[in-house]
Amino acid sequence: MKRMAWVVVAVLLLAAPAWAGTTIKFYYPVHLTGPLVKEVEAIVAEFHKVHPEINVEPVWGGTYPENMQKTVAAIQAGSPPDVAIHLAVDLVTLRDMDAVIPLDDYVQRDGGSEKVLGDFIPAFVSDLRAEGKVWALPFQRSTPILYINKELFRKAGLDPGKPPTTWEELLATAQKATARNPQGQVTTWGLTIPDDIWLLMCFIYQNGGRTSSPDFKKVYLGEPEAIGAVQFWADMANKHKVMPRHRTFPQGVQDFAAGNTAMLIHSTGNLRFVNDSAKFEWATAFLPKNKKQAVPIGGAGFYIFKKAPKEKQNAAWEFAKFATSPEMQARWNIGSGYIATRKSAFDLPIMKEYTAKLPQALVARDQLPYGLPEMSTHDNWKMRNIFVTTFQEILDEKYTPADGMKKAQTEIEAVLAPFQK
Amino acid sequence: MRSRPGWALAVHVLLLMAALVMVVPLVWIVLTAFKERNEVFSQIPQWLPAHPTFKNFLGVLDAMPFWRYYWNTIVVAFGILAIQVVTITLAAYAFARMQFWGRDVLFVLLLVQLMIAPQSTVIQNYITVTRLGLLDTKLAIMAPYLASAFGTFLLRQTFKGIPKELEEAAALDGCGTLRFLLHVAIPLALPGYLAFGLVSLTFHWNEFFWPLVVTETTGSRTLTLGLGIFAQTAEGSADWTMLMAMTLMVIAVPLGAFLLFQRRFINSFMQSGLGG
Repeated sequence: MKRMAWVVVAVLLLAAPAWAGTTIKFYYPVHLTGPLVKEVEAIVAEFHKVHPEINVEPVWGGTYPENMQKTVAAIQAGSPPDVAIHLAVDLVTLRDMDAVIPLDDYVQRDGGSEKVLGDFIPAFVSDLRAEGKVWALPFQRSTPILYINKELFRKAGLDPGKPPTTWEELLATAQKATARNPQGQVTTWGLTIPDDIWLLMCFIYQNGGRTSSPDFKKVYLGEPEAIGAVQFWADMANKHKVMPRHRTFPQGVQDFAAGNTAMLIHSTGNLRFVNDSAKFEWATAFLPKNKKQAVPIGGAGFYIFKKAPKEKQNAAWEFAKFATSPEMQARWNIGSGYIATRKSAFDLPIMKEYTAKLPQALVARDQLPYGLPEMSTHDNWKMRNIFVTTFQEILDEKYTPADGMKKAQTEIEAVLAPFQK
Repeated sequence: MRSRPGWALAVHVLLLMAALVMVVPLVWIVLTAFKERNEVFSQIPQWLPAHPTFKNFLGVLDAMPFWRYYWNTIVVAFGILAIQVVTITLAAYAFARMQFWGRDVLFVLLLVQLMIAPQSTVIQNYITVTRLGLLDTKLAIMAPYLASAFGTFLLRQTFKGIPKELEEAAALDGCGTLRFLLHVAIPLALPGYLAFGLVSLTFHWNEFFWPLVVTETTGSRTLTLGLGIFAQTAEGSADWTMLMAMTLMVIAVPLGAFLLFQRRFINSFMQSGLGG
């Protein structure tokens, strides 16, 4: 047995490749399809060229929730990854498990906040902060934008150059663009919005409302602004019948690509898909405003895990920095449609060439000054689950918007009760 | 009644319609696999690809170590079945034929296990597998399934149907328990094994979440995880043409096996119906 062990060691030593230094395990999710796995692997390969002393082992973990479950299982078994991409809203959970480290020491070591974080688009860093510290470097970020099918606009006698800018205009445009057959059935929807709470947050913020508190302990779903936002949404689906009640994210964007809806509110992360699939002229625009212009920010960041030894944490920091560098972010933006998280990424030649060909991509960036952090609380997935279920029941007219939102508020308060101190 | 030609015709029309429901998605998979990406979303669905292409298949082979995943899947699915056959045979025989203290309680406990959703034990299983040092191996995927409550139950029922006299006669001729199992009980229970094998293979061929959680590298990952790269898209659209091309390649083995053994499968179900 002992001899066997020596043989193994010898083989390992002989087989040890050039890096021989530090190996770090990296869990990542991909929320969009196929090619993105290759894009992540390409970033890792580029990193190895610059840092031959570090070996990154990329592990695809499914979608965001699946990847998170994988990490949670690994944390509980005592073998977490060294670095991982998780949602900004997972920050609370990861901190509640005491699984990740703040990055401020590294930021100070490398020249301070302005030098290290100054080039990131501020909205993308703001939702990765908690208790005055920074917990992740932003990656794979998106916001909702308005997609417009120009041909259907023209067909309905609308000016494709003038997208709706307010709620009233949104409704009026949707009414004009909704086409029905003689039996009164809808053949083309005026507007499609997946019935997800990330998109509902847009309307709550635009209505001057708020969703969750900065300390992640409170929600404000019973407030009039939030109820008003749900009312507007439900009316578009049920009273005016200009949009379908239920659509998932994939269905929504497929409907748009198939020309079944004149407008779509959806993630910027689908720019590439729409560009590849749509056979008509299309445009993007800011989301319409009501009391104010606002949009929630979604997406993730690189987290570094507490249990990793110091040298691995150091290596993980180098990798996270590299993957969020302007060059890699430009590449990632072009490959995926997700917004580059660096201001200077947009000044690079490859990015200029890309946005010249696809000016729709710039809308997402230009809308970012209106970005607000996504709703997030302790026990985040449970909270979301209650919220989205109730929201869908409201759309099915099981509750009025006021009753439903108050019910969700009460149920979420019960979930958050253990965290109140 | 039965001899009336009208009746036979009605039955056949009904069966044909049912068959159509089964076959259409399969045909759709095949046709989509050869389409260009933007053909999928045309407003009026097109049956035939306008420009048939192998691009999707090549794309799949390029996107992942496909054949490695295929091999891993075969090892995992058939490996589980091979070990299960041993464990369920012995357990089922014990429950069906042997007398021992607490047998019925144990059997009920075993059945209770059928009601536990596998998802609820993921984290506990993950911890066990990690402590065994099996993380990121094919054995880790297989470990939780090496015994099967469903299989044990199914076989126990089948074994109970074998007349006691047969065993007594065999015993008189000097046949021990294991030999009786091997030469008498197992051959008689063959339909049960076939039915169980089919269920087990399909389940493990298709399983996604457990392998995703418990494996990390190419050496142990399975086909469903490869498929997931094209299908797991909470935020955007699936890559339908690639997905269909890969689906076609993934189901080729189970589908081929089924077509090959079709008659035997069907017979096995009919016999197990009679014998149960």
